[in-house]
Amino acid sequence: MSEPAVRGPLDHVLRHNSWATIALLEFCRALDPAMLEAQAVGTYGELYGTLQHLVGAEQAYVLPLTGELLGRPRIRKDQRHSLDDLIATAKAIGARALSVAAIDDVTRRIEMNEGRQSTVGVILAQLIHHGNEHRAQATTILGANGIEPPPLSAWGYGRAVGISEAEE
Amino acid sequence: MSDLAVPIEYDNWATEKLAQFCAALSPEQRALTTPGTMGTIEATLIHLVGAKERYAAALQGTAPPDDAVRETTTKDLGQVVARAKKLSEWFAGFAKGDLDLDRVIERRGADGTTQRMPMGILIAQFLHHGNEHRAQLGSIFGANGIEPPHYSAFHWGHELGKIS
Repeated sequence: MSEPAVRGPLDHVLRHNSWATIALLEFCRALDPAMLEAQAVGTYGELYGTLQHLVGAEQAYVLPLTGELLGRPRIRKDQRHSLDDLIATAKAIGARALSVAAIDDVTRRIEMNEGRQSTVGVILAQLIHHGNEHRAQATTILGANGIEPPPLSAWGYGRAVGISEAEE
Repeated sequence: MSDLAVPIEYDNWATEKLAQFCAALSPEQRALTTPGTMGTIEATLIHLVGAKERYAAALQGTAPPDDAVRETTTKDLGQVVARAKKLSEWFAGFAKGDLDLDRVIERRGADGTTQRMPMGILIAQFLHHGNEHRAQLGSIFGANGIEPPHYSAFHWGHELGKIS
């Protein structure tokens, strides 16, 4: 992930979000492809659809923040994108979200879709919430189908980057 | 509101909202679960708030208070709702302060060892943990035909007038 010129208060939160999403996508890429169709009752849908929604929504959140569509192609619900495409887009989003959070004003109001407006801070909070929510659903699907999910907590992120001793 | 205060205030709102919702369920409903999650609605909520107690205590360099929610002893969801509110108040004040995210925090691990981490990592874990277990509650509700309250950050933003 490229380094933003300025480090903001959300730095570790957003780095964890990006690290965890990419770790989950890479874990799922190594699974038997049939497992991508697995489901668990009460979650968003099948595993692949959850992963695609997770990345597609972040692409949509970052668009009004930056004016840029990050990653190609645009992630659409009615199209099947490869996990390689989702990983590349997740990496681009992760780097750009860090830059935005480091320099933008969380109280600034911006235009979203369908004429709605939001503050920058709420969009970033939604991005963080949404990533954690759907990764949790993905790990629920994995667990319900007998697969031990990868560690995706911020403790895991802290250990992975060598700055924390904390474990579950 | 500072940058970190936004997701922290959202966590406070969402956790309190779900605590109140779960406390109003019947005992039979609170015992429901679904495969792949950590356990029942009641156990998940108690763990969610119990962990928040420990994150707050670690940030203060103290032990959790006597009336803290604990997975091993807490049975009363009224206490969980009350402590969730108290924790919200503490975290809201904390988030307004001048935070040194590189300050080393010590935390007692499950194996009794002392673990050290920058404050920024502990806050990232606190936010992750809340979202993760609220998502598990959402899955249990969905699997059992219970319509949950809306608890996304966008819904929070709507309530505060930050989204129009």
